[in-house]
Amino acid sequence: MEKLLRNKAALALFVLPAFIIYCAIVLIPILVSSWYSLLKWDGVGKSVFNGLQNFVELFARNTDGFWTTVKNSGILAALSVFIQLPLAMLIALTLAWGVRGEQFFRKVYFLPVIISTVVICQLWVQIYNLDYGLLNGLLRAVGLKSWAQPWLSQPRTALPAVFLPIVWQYVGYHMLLYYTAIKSLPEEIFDSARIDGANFAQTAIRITIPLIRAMIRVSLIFAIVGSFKLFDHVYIMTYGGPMQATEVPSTLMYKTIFRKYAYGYGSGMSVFIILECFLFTLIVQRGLRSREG
Amino acid sequence: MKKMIIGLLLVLLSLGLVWAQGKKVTINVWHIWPDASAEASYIDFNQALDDFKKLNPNVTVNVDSTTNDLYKPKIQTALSANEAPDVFFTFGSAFSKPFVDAGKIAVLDPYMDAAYKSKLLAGTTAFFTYNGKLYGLPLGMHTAWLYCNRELYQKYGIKYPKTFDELIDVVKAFKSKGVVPFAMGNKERWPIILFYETLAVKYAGAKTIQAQVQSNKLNDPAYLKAAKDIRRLVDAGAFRPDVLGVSMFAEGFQVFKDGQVPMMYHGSWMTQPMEADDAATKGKIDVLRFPMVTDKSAKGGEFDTWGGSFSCFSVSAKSKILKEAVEFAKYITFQQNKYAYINGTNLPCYRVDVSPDQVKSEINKQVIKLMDKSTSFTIGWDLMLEQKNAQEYMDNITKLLGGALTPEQFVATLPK
Amino acid sequence: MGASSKSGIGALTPENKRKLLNGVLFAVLCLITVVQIFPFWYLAVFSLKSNDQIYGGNIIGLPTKWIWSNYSKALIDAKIILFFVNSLIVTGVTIVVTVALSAMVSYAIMRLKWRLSKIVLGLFLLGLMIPQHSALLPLFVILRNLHLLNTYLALILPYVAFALSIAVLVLTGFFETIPKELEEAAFIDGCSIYRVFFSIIMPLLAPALATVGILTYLSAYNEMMFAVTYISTERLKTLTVGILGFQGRYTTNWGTIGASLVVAVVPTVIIYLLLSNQVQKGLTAGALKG
Repeated sequence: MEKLLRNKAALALFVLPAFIIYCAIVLIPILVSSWYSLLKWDGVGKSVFNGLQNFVELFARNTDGFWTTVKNSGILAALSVFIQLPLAMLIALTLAWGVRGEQFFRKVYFLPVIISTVVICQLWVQIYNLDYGLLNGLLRAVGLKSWAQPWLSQPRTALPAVFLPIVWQYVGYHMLLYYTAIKSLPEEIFDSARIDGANFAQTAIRITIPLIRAMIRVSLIFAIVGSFKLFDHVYIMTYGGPMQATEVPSTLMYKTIFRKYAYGYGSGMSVFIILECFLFTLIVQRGLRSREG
Repeated sequence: MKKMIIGLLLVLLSLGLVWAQGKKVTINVWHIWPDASAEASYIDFNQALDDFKKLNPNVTVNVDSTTNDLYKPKIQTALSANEAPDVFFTFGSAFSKPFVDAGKIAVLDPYMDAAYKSKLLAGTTAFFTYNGKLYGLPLGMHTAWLYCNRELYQKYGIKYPKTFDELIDVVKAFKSKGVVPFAMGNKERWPIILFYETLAVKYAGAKTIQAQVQSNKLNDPAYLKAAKDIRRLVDAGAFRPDVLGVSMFAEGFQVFKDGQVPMMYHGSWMTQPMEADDAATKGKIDVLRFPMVTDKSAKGGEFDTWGGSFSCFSVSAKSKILKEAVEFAKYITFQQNKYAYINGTNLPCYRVDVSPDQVKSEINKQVIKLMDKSTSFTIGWDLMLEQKNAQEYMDNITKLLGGALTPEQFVATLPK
Repeated sequence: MGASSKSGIGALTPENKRKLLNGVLFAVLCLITVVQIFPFWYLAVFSLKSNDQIYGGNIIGLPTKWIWSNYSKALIDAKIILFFVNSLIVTGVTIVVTVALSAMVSYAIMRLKWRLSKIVLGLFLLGLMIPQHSALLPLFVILRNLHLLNTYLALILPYVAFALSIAVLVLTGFFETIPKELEEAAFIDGCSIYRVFFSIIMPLLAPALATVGILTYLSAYNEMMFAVTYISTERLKTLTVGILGFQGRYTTNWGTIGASLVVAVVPTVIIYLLLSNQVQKGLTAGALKG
């Protein structure tokens, strides 16, 4: 049997197709993108080697407002971590504590997660409509007429307005992560806490949360990295506007490559995004791990 | 022996079928008018296409259309990948230049017989001629005018503006009555340039502007003056509060068509829907020139007009049926020019045998008279500037509109 | 109501405190439910209204007249059926290929003996950290040069590639629950590797394969960035891109947009209602391991 399991032909057949496709599409492009980022190229004609000039333009000269986009994605990450995750945690704790309709709520909260982002964003664009949208309609109906505004068309409200559908869509996902983790903890812990007289808040803070640290770590990575590479929601709802108020690195990268035909320069942005994602994944993984002691 | 004969007959039969199939030609066409809701050319094109199909029943024409903003990257990608269709809509000047230089667009001169050439009006192919060779057939003279809803003006007792200062007053007057003065949507980033460029030309004169923009070196006090005027419009309340997020081709235009907004300053490609039967503005539109600025040193004048012949049908150099494609393009373009004239989409670039009384469009009748006096035509700078500069120009003028850039800051971003 | 206690009237026993807390929590959960569901109600409702009803101020109420023609317009004029079919084809092929390839690779990694197995596994898992942006341009250039732009393959290949990471993660994890005895017995009986793989392993992998299928479905069906970049031909567009194209064209046709969105969402909702546990399990599986 040992010999059978070392069968080279079978090995090749089983591994190569998947591996080749994977390498060609997931791994190699990282190297190619890195190479492009050192060029000046319009995609049609010849390319010129540019060294690190693209990065100088991006970071030092802040052409196209690249730092603003990084800031925006950072704001989204912060909003995610400090609003979305606590909210998800609260809901998860509540459901795991034991309320009526636990199953039902779990199903319902999770529903938006699986719905296509395009559908959700188009729906929210309608919700935000100045004249006929749900939000402004409700505001006017309760007498807050002056609060009705063009949420997505104003620089100062656009970014938070983009954030809301993101929370709405994904809070259920993080909630489910926490809920699953909590449910996998042994019942005895909660029983003894109850006997000791701990209430909801105490149990949550002193016992539950520390014990699901691993899952919190995962959730943090998804939230932070997800915010850094965010593309779909911004592209659909505002296309980076108004006036780049909601521009994030991926949308700027996209426009730079496919509208301005600056392939090299745009690849520089792509390299940045990749490194940023890697970096924060490692930071969160290491950071929380060391605290576990 | 019998088998051989049958075999031979079968072979001959199949060869014959293949040969007959080969007689059938399929032409692929791309254009930028998905439907008639905001794009009048849709109707003109299809009328022309019907004519073509009647004359050429054995030709199959596949049409693919995409809306304005999505069309531009689509055709550029296709051209760079050598996958452009046989015949396609495109913009002249700097837009197509990279592809002309890369040999992706077919030269049309060898196919321009004298009879056809004589039908072209002078100057209409300037933007499709590169290095003395012709690369596109003009689809029409598109010009911009101030379309005014007579009924709304009368309802509020406001008079048509004769100068730019009066226009600001008109804007304020409508605003005070709770009416949004201009139908506008700048989601596409370029609709505002019509205002800006018209003003700039009035300050500096068409010659200077055209020369500077085409060489990507913009240096003139006119640019600052025009920028300040844009801010004057915005501050007076000319546009809807969500103008940055609204599309000109959808709600932007819709409110004018529904008779809710009194003015629209935009190109003639949108006029037909204004006169459609379901338009509240049918029969109520007066076409005005954009009012002149009050500036003693202004080099331009009342009759400088925004627009020109900047859109065309081109043929892919890689087309497998080059000759048929060119003939198709020649025929369709001519017919479309004719229908555009009759329907009111734009003025023709050809000598079309249409008498002025055949022109159905009320608007076009007015436009013809106005154009008679026009002294210059300047097309959109987004087409004359180098691609990269054009994109930044549109981004920055949107910021000027939205107040993220002051006029001075905006002028600083212009290529020099 | 409460039993008396030293603090006097109105004090609550632990029992009643608990009941009150539960009540409050329940109310809050219901409120959140409303927030989560309401946009769907709003969507369903305006998909059946005519523009007049919407402009007339009837924002959240039921339509006064049920305009079913919005749906026929969405399906035909707006070509939702066409986009839907394209999405089905692309997603379907992606799922089949992903399931097949990931099963094969996972089997090889977990059961076959070769030195590089751990490294290859690591490489596949690396993909979980890589954003799709990295591949967007290089892939575009490759597809353009191979004349594969505007074909189904332009989407299927990237979708499969990026789905492999999580598929391999789930499957290799699942292998630990499959005892080797069955395979060993089969080998002793003289079965070839291929026989063992098809007849024994695959059936045993079924639940995990279902999870992989669902995860792949979700990522491919809803994917937008590649879809919008690689396909510009109207007749090949998937749902995500097709719906995106409404902006600027149908923006004033609320009913049609609403109907299109509803149609686009229906398959996913059905799958979810039928398989919600599987779906939830699948999406957390990766996280638990990660």
